[in-house]
Amino acid sequence: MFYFATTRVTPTVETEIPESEWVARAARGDEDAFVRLAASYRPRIWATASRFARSLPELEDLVQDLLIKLWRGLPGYRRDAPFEHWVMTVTVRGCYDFLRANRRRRESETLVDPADRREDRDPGDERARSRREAWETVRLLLDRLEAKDRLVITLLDLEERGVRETAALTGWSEANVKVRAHRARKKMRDCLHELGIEP
Amino acid sequence: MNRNTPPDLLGRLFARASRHQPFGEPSGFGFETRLRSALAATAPGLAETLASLSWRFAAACLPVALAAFVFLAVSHRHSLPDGVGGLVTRWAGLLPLGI
Repeated sequence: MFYFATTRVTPTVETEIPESEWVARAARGDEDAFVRLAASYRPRIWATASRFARSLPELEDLVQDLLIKLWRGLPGYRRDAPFEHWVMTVTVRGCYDFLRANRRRRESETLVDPADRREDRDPGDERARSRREAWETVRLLLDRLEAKDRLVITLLDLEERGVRETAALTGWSEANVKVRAHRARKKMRDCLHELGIEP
Repeated sequence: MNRNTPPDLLGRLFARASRHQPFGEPSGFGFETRLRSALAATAPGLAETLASLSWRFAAACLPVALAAFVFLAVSHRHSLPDGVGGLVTRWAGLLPLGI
């Protein structure tokens, strides 16, 4: 089975007790151990979930739900996979469930990003503004995709994960991921043209 | 590439958008309290535990009920000239039904 290489900063629980011990304790129902693990992995869960939520309260609720999913799933966690991989798999699949459950509602909503107001206070930061505008455009395009396509594009192109890693996280085949990504990008390019966005 | 859109426009958008953190970093304020509260709310109570075991109780209760019925039928067979049918009729008479 494929497990992705963790080249990014790997979250670690900062104590002398190894993470595996905290995981074992949490799996036995130790809430304190789980809270430590949750605090350690929360930034990564937050970063991934923030690509799918529409507002800060929604994001906080989504992250909370994902942590509860982790808590409930811990007794079934098999030690043959790295804990980080398992956490991100639960996170990605939870985000997919969230996307499917909220698809109809998000189609009728307008875009609200609290970061807009935060960055407007600093108009001199052209780079940050450029990134925010790019994100707004990409999110507009993502909202037009099916939940599966949106998940694949988010993992591949926004989180810059590989095809194998994306396939491992979603549980779909690599061929399926490639085909979905190809079709989704084509649809996004068509949408860009319809919106009149030129280079 | 399709129409007039250059092939690298979407890629450039992705590259810039991937460096934007939509809602910034998570705030640690109240995180632990909120999480512990949610964990407490998800902990199963006595009713949930019993409900989760109910199907096991059902499976275990069926042979017990059959054994009790057979035992009572056998122990009352001499007092009932009609056998098990009479026993059932007598018990049915105890039910709060207008039979």
